[in-house]
Amino acid sequence: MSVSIIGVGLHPFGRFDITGREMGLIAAREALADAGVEWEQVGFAAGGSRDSGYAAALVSELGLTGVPFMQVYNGCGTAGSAVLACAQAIESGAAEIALAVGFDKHARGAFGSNPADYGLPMWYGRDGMMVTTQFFALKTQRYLHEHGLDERLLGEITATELHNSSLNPNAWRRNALSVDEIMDAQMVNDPLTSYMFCSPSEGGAAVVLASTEVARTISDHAVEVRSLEFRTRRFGTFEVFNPWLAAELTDSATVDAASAAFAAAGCRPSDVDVAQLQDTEAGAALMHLAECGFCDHGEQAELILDGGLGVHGRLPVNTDGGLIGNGEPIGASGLRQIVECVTQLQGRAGERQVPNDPEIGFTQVYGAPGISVCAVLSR
Amino acid sequence: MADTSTARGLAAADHDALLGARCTACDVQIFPAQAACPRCGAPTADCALPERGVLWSWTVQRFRPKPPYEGPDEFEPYVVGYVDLGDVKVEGRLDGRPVDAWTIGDPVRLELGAPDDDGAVWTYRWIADDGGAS
Repeated sequence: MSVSIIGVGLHPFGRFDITGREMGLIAAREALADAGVEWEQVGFAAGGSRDSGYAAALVSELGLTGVPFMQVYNGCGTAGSAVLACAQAIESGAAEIALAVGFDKHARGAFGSNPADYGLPMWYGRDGMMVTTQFFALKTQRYLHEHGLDERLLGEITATELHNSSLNPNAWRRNALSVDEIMDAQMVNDPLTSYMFCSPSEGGAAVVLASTEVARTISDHAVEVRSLEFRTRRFGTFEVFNPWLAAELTDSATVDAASAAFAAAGCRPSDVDVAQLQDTEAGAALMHLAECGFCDHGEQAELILDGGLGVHGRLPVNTDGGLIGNGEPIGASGLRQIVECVTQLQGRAGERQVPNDPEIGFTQVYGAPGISVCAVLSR
Repeated sequence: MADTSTARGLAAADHDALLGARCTACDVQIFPAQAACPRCGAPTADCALPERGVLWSWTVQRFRPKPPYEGPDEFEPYVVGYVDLGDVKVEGRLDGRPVDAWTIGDPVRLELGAPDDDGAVWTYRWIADDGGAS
């Protein structure tokens, strides 16, 4: 791609007294200021939220410039889709500078879902199977069994992420916990305990993108988007809200998006210096390490143990605490990952900074109903 | 208990098996039955699913789900799993054992819920199958 990120903005994630929309506005203004560009210079915008209203309505406070503003809603891939729309607008020549923004503010507790919205019969929900956390647990349970992995790896991943979020002033969960505390916590859906899940939360995030040519002339801290790939599921994947699964399972959308992203960027997983992976719960992070190509299936222990995923580890992952440490405002979550990757590549991550001037970053979102957006970024 | 999405329930006509469907073109088996194949879009034909299988994955639901869940007022944790029936894996509630006494690979058999006034069945359970007659 010939697209760069020239500005990032973030409203902290957690619980706040302002609306989701206001958090989006704060993040958008911060990203514009970081980029050093005015809203009037933005030639294309895209954004979304699940529960906090129309992203395009932000123009009434950013300025009614007539900019084409595309609203997207794509589950956990909402923010990634917004970034993709911006990047493609720039690549096509339709705009030189674009803004992607996401925000949300969710009620407490696991999301409730209506079977009819997913084309499912009512009995599926009435009998207690329309529950997202159940799906994550069923998938994790099977994965651990198939690959002979120890449940304790889930606690190790969670402990690393909560340590990172304890160092991140923008994160929600600021208390580090030991692996034992995580393993001994209340079981929610076996084998996942309460600390291993991310919770719906609140926050906003935004990035300003520009063509790499324009970025060179107006920015001294641009980060290049080497690739950005979006895939949906093929037949035979294991997704949320499925009363049945195929006899033969297929690789997930993450495998397809990640391999395409590395191919388009011309680099390999082993080249990555810092990665932000979708960790809706610890089992997802465990699986995504392999699905993105950072290790073989079942070989995660070598990456994870002895602080391997920590900021000073072999592969620093979810350096801002990930979803486990930040919660998930659906519209903003994927943009938070990109903001964190850019911040790390720019060396601006403070106490949680990955050492030795990281050059290549990777982000991955995965969400219902089987979508993934992966990106390779570089200084 | 009427269902707004379909009136015929989820059991085969003779009420001893779940009603699935098989694609007339690519042979994929699915549950519940639907008219078009999710893999290739061709028409499907209804079929009764096997009544016995092995547990493929499981978890315990330890908190009360939000609506449309309609469980008893006093919430009791329950087990949900996928059962491998050979040509398809079917999700369902497990019963007949303490919630944390399940292991992947356990044999299970189907038990359909009671039919409603219109003769349609809306619930089923997978019961630990210790080899006896069902």
